[in-house]
Amino acid sequence: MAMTARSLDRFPLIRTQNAEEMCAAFERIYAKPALRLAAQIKRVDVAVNHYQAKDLAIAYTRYGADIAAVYPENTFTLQIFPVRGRGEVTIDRVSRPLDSRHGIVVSPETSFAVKLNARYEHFVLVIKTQALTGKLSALTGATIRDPLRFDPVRDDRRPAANVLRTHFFFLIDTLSTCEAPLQKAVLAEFEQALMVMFLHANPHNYSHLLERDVPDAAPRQVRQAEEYMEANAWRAIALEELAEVTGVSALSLFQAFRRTRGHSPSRFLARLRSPLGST
Amino acid sequence: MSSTPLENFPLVRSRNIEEVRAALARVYAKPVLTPVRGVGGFDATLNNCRVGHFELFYGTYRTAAEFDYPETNIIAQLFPLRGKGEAVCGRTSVSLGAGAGAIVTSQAAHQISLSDDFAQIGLRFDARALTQKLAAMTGATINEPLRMDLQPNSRNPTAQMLEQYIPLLIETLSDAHPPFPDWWIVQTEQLLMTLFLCGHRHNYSHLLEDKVADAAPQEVRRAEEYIEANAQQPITLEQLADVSGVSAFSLFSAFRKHRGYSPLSFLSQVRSRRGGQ
Repeated sequence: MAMTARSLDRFPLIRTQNAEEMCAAFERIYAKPALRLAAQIKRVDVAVNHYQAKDLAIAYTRYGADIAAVYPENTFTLQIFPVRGRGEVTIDRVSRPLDSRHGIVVSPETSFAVKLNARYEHFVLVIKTQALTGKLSALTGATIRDPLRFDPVRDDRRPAANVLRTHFFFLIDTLSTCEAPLQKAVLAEFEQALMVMFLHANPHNYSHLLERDVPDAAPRQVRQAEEYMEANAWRAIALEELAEVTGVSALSLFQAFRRTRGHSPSRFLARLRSPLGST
Repeated sequence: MSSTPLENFPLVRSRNIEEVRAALARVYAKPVLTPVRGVGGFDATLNNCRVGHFELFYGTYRTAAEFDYPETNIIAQLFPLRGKGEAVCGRTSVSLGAGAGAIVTSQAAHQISLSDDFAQIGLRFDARALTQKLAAMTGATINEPLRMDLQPNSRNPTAQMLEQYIPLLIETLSDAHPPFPDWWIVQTEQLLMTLFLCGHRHNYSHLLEDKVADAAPQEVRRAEEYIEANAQQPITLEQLADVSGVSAFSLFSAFRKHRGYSPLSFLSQVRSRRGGQ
């Protein structure tokens, strides 16, 4: 298998071919995901490797069988980088493909479900949300009150996303092939870099603070619209209504959301209404 | 014609020695430049990309040549791609060839001689920025100027990491158009300086070495052996501490550091593995 030599095999966490053992091992180690195999499957080929740094961890997983899993909410921020096979991930009742060209970002305190085929393999970047929030605060000088929330779709066309991906896999290659443990200062520098890259690569509710040349007026209108939606989430809200409240045109409000939040006003509203989207 | 590294950042293409000296003076220092076998074949292709406090450089001259450089404010690592050569600094010298480079320290005159087929990538740092990074990393006051060993520490894993990072960076730059985002400049520069300072030997290397005793892996291995032998029974962390002769806390920390997981997750692994057999 082409990936094997560079799949963090020096850091094994789970190896089993027994389906029950797999479920037990996952329960011990992770936040008790509900794993479901097709009824007839008894034999799996599970490999989980796990490298733990200070503020982040990198995991490699393959199951070797068609599998479905539901992961409960946890405190970490994740980015999944599929490398082989196919799957599907569902967050907030929206399903998206998982394959080598489509990954996903999972915000903290967010439950997600996956369905994966037997060939599926992925790497996950797991970041302590507190460290990530601290980094964001240090970069922007802002006080971060509302929890960080990421847009789940990963867009690899963004140059920053490519930078993150390149450095993430460079670190995996190094860890997989290097005989000695990384020097502390080197690992610390990579952790810092990956967190900064992560914040730039993935749109979130504070992205506007990291971007320059954004007119200052826009975020205020966006925030006004958000407050209005929060207060009226129980009923239908038209974009025109929001335009009236904020005093700008529907189009420019829509664009301001896209630019500063990375999503549309209606997406924000959908999140508010979703039981998993509440913060 | 295959493309040359950093092609989108041309510095000079010239058969004229004075033009090439002037170009080198703009990005580094003005050398006395002597083509070895007459001026006839001399044909320089130099590319240079400046990013924050560092520069990446590509150079080839099509004829054997000697360069006599004065003191500079730059610390540079040469990564020869092909050909042979020699770098001399004071009384020390190193041979240059693919995989065998040199590090030229600031405030030191140096001579470089190259074969006709020589081509290289150069990584250059502003010595002052590098010294500031060193001070930030060590918390020490740096009075004595930073002096690098001429010979790169190519067996050091961090130095190897730097060597593997350079092609990646060149590839990124080949698709990139300035101005680069500030955050990217800062992160890239910090990563490069950290790898450079930790990977190579200099007069402050001792301040950057990890102080943790190397005895830890032995304790870790002892605990692992015990776990392997007794996986079918309940095992506590205290038991493992007894067996390995260190405190439960140090054993836990040693596992985290050297294995990236806890002793008990190793136990889970062993049990899972056996469960599957």
